[in-house]
Amino acid sequence: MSGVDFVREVDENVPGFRERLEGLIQTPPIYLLLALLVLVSAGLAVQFSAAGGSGQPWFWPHAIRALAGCALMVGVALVDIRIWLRFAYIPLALTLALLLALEFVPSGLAVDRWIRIGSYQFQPSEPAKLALVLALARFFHDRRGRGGLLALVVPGIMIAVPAFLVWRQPDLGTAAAIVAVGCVTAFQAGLSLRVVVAGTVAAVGALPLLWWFVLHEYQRVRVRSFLDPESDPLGAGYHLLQSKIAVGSGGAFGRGFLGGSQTQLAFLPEHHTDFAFTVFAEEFGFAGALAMVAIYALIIIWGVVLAQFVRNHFGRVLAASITFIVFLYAFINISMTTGTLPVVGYPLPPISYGGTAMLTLFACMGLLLNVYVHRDSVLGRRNQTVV
Amino acid sequence: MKPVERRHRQDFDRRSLLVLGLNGCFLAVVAERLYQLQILEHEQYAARSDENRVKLQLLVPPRGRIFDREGVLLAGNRWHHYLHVIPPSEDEGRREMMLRLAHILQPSATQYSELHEILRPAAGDRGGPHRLVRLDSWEDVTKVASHSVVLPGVSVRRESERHYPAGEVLAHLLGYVSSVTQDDLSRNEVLAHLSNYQIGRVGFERAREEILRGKIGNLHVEVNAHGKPVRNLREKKAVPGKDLRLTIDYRLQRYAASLLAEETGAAVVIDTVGGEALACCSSPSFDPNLFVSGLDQATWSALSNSPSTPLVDRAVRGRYAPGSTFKVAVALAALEAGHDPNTTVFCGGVREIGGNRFHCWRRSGHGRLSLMEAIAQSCDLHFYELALNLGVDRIAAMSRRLGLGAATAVDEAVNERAGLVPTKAWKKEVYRKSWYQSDTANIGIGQGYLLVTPIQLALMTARIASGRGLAVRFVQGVASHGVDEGPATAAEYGRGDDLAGPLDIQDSSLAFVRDAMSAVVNNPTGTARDAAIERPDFRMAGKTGTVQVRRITAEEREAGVKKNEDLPWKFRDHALFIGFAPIEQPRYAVAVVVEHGGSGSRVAAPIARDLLLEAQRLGITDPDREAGPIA
Repeated sequence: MSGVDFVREVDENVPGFRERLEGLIQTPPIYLLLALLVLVSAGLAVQFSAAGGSGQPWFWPHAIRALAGCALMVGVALVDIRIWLRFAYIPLALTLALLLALEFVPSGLAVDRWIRIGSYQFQPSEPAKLALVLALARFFHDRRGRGGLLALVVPGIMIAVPAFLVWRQPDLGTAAAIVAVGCVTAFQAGLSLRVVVAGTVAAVGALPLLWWFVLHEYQRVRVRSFLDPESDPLGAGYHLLQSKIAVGSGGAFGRGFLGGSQTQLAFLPEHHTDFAFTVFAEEFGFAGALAMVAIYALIIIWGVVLAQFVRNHFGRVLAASITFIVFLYAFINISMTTGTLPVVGYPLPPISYGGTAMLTLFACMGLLLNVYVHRDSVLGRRNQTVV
Repeated sequence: MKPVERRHRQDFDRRSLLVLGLNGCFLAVVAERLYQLQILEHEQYAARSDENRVKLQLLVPPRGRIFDREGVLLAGNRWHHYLHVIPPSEDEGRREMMLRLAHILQPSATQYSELHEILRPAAGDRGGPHRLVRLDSWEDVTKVASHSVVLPGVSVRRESERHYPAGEVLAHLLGYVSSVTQDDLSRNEVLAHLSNYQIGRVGFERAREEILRGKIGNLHVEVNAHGKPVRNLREKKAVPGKDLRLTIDYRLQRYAASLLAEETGAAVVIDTVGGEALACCSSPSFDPNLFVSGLDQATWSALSNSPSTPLVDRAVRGRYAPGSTFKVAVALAALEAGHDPNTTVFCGGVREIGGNRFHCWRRSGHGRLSLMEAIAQSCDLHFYELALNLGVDRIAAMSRRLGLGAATAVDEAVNERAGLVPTKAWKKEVYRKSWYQSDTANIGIGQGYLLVTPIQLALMTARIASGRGLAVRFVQGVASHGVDEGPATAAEYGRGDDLAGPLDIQDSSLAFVRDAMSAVVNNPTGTARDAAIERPDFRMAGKTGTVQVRRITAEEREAGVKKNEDLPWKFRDHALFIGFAPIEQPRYAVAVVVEHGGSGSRVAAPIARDLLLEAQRLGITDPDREAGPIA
């Protein structure tokens, strides 16, 4: 160990609460907030349309969740970043505890991937992605520039354990997303190139094993029906086929708000959740769908560009990795509804109905704003004594 | 910033921008995919979307009805209510619907199993709607209607079913409808889309199928994923079938059926003024209503294999030797050939022709008879002589002029058989044999190769009575929406009229034969004197016929010919009679054939007489009757 590394690092330039509030109000990230507003509006329109032009049963709960999400976002944004840094491992620990609880709790309280408390349901696999990003950001913040086996093993465990538990639920889509988020976060945060190359080779080699030993039969059926959906139009391929018909029939400018026959006549299954994008694409056409993809792209670009200007490693990694979470929502869900990926049950917040995903997205946005507010702060390593 | 820190930052910047670039590529793929689906393949998916939501429903109009000349319904439509059910897709929903329907309808055992088949939890999602039980009482219909709120997906629909109030009385002529078969589908694909459609099988139901069916309409319905109709998109209204009015008088037809009820045979009454068929009866008959609801195999084989062939319309398809009724045609042929009616021929009961012995029906012979007397007493020897002098071809020509040997005079719907008027050329062609004198002699008394149908006999009688080249018509007119469209045109509703033309027989010959036919009935020596109508204003003329159905051998003649009553039924003679009335101004012509009935004068003539009297009593075709009240 060289002596240079033992120099105690200090935090600099961390704004106080008043400065954070002023920073957010005086120089708000206007593009990000506008993009978010447009997406939430689109989501509300879809929920209204999916109910056949009615506020019930989805529009109003969706709107209330969006408001709650905004409050959560502002709250997360205004917290001192050092608090997030200090407690960065806690959300992952909590998530793991909940996922484990799902394994062992009697089925009356928890079914599949949901935890029920009273009339509320909670899906711990959704915030798992954000919790993992937080934990990895903290880990690599502390260990930046240091190699060694530990830098490979600890992130590996942090990724593998939640991914395994989510896969057990079984929710292959989210499990794969957790792995992807974890790997991309580790890659951006400074994992050694040798490990990256070796990991890529290993992953490609593991694909056949994945097919035979990891995938459940129903998942294999889905993948097969994805490859040839027309072979069984009323079976496993039905959802996808109806979704493609809906998207395709939308044409350039759509069938008009509340005018999509696939949606309104219930040919499209799960139209308010996993296939919410399809509703939008059917009724607003290629113009609307492309605009939506562009808005997601705008958020992603904004986040990565922000990361380039952040002066602390924790914030950099957070910003870049959170935008990757957003990218995954858009990419997996839209690809799934248009038939370029198998139907895996992956939501598209804030378009899809579903509180956990919506709140996760707003929490992500809140952290992104938090990094924005603290972009000029310099943060030292937290575990200097351990090293 | 420390150099180490700067290196980490450069690393991060490079890697995060690399990830951003890759993400951009992925999103570009997503956009490209949207472009492909929504712009390039839009047409295809739009079509499939419409395929999903738009269902074509064919609208079958009510079938045209058939009436008799007085407006009595002969073929109509009865409306039935059926329960239509779209079963819920969930097991629990089906179970609940089953329970509710069972509670509301109190179904019979068969109805219950019909419902259960579709609504049992294990039935799975069958789509729909399904046509289930028939609701026979109005009470059931209102019960289902009033419970519609708790029975989503259940509806009551009206469907018509063909009904023949006349039943057996007019089965052959009307025909019947029955369910569409594979064979029909190969001829008309549209039928495949008509659930429960019934197509005309025989008689007028078949021949006028196009007119009776009307024009099938269609309705484009928007349905949701569960097959439930949401709204009507566009509709092409169905055009109801036209009603057909026949020339038949149901009352006379029913009377004819009652007269023949115990017999096997046929009776035809036609109007000698317009050539309209007033009654056309074949016995035994069948109930056409049986075919509508679908025959079971046992009933079908009983009908089709019965030795009395109830499915065959004897009136137009039964081919019989005309026997002595044909003598009027031979007499006409002779008179037209210049034969002197006062020439007498001696009848000794038997004579030899071409090496065979030819007998008269009266074994003791008639002695010397003029033509008039020979017709009245139906002397066979006299007509052997006439026929031999005329030759077969002149007789054949006259037969054709009188309407025998060709089916074409009658509406195609009737599916008449042509019968057979033999000539020398015909025998040469069919049997490759020469025509013999004995053949001619047999034709002279209406036997041998000669075959006629009852309706041809009636037409022959009507032509003789009226002196005009009448043709038989069955259709009086059509009406749509109950509005009369006027008399039927020959081109559209039958071809009877085209053939009405001059008869081309001298009035003096016709008058002579009419007198002779009067003598048959009204002279004390006439063969049908017992059937005479003793009313000066409605006297009948006619001719009897008694036709051997087996050859009488020489040995039998030696032993003494058995009386008909002593023979088994199927060896008994056919009884025939043709007639018209009133003699002075003929209005009705009749032909009666009773298979194995025995004597024409004793069995057929009274039936003919009763039919003529009934026609007169009913006043059918009476031009003055319009003024009086309709009974």
